[in-house]
Amino acid sequence: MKDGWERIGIFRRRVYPDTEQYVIRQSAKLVSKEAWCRKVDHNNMVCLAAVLVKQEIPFPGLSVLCLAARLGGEVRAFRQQGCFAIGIDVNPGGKSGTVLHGDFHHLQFADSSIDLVYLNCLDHAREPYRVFGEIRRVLKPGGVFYFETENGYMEKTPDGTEAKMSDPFDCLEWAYRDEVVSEIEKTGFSKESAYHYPAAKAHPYGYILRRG
Amino acid sequence: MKDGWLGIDDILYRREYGSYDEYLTIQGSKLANKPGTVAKINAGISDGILKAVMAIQEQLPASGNVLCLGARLGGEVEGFIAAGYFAVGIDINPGEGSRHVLLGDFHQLDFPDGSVDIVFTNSLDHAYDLKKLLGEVYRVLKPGGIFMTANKGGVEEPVWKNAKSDGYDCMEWTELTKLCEYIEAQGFSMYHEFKIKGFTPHGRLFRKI
Repeated sequence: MKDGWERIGIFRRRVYPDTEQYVIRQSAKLVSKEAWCRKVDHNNMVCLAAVLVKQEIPFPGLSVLCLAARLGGEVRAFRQQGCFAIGIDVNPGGKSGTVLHGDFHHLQFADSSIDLVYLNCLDHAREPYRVFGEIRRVLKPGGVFYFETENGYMEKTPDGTEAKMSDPFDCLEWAYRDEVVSEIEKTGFSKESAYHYPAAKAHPYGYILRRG
Repeated sequence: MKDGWLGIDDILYRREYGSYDEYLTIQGSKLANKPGTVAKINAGISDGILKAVMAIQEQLPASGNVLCLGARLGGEVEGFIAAGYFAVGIDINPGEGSRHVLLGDFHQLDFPDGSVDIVFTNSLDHAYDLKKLLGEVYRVLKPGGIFMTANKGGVEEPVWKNAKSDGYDCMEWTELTKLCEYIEAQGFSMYHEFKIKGFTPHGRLFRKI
């Protein structure tokens, strides 16, 4: 295990002294890398808009929650498809028309109330199994968990050696993305489809999972 | 007519502002100027909404999304969430760190056409242009969607008790029935009346037609 990291299920996570330090660190990303975050946000919107139109999901009128949505690019992409979409983040960057304050480990929403939950930054979770549990709780039966991710650290290099960290704010890693999808399925979802969209850079692999 | 107020469409009175920006600035300043009052009212709204929704649940869809307009600190949003809905509010000043209310102006909603199951507001008395606001409600509601309002009575009615105006409200109506007819004329049909605890006790349900 790398120094300063610990195992949690199939994942390894960065060690923080406590939850408060985790939240402070995660909230700091927008401040320290704001221009970069804005660029990424725009790319998120453009890429997600391009992949959503190819999905066989009747989007208009769906209730959509985007987790850790930062500046809300993904929220805008879902709204473009006619969805009632909002996001949450530990730091939405001041007052926002798209993203509420919120932590994906403790969602402020009712059980079985949402049609679709979107997540593209599991690598910022502290307790991934708790996040999966919260997603399952707020989704309606038959609701969609729309998960986007990058490769695991054993898949990033052509020779199969372990890749180095790219973002000092990441705090959760996994070896292979298919293992993550299996873990999600074990918490009460079934995988329906998958795609690869390279332009989405930090999360080019998409999975549509349905809540059982 | 009170000094500093305009008559609109025979049944409405609106406070005069130098500009729309001035309206936004004054409305947005209430939270900072009267934080205690806003917080106190907010706590009561959450419980009031939950009780009202439970009392009229046969008149509402069992689940769905709810958009609360002029929701300030979001007590109504918490009430709808407690009742099982996916709810969020908008306000021109939701305060810092809100977990329930987004930044937004109810004259210009940032949600798609036909995407909302229920729009709720108890803030029609803070509207600048009621017709424009109702047009936005109509636009974002799904076909058959519900517009749920909680209102004060009219200024020309005997029950009118506006002695405690907070100085921030800026829209009044002559009579509540006239306000309801005005709403209906924008594409809605009123189908139920209910009571709700607080300063805006007259609840009305309208369906988008």
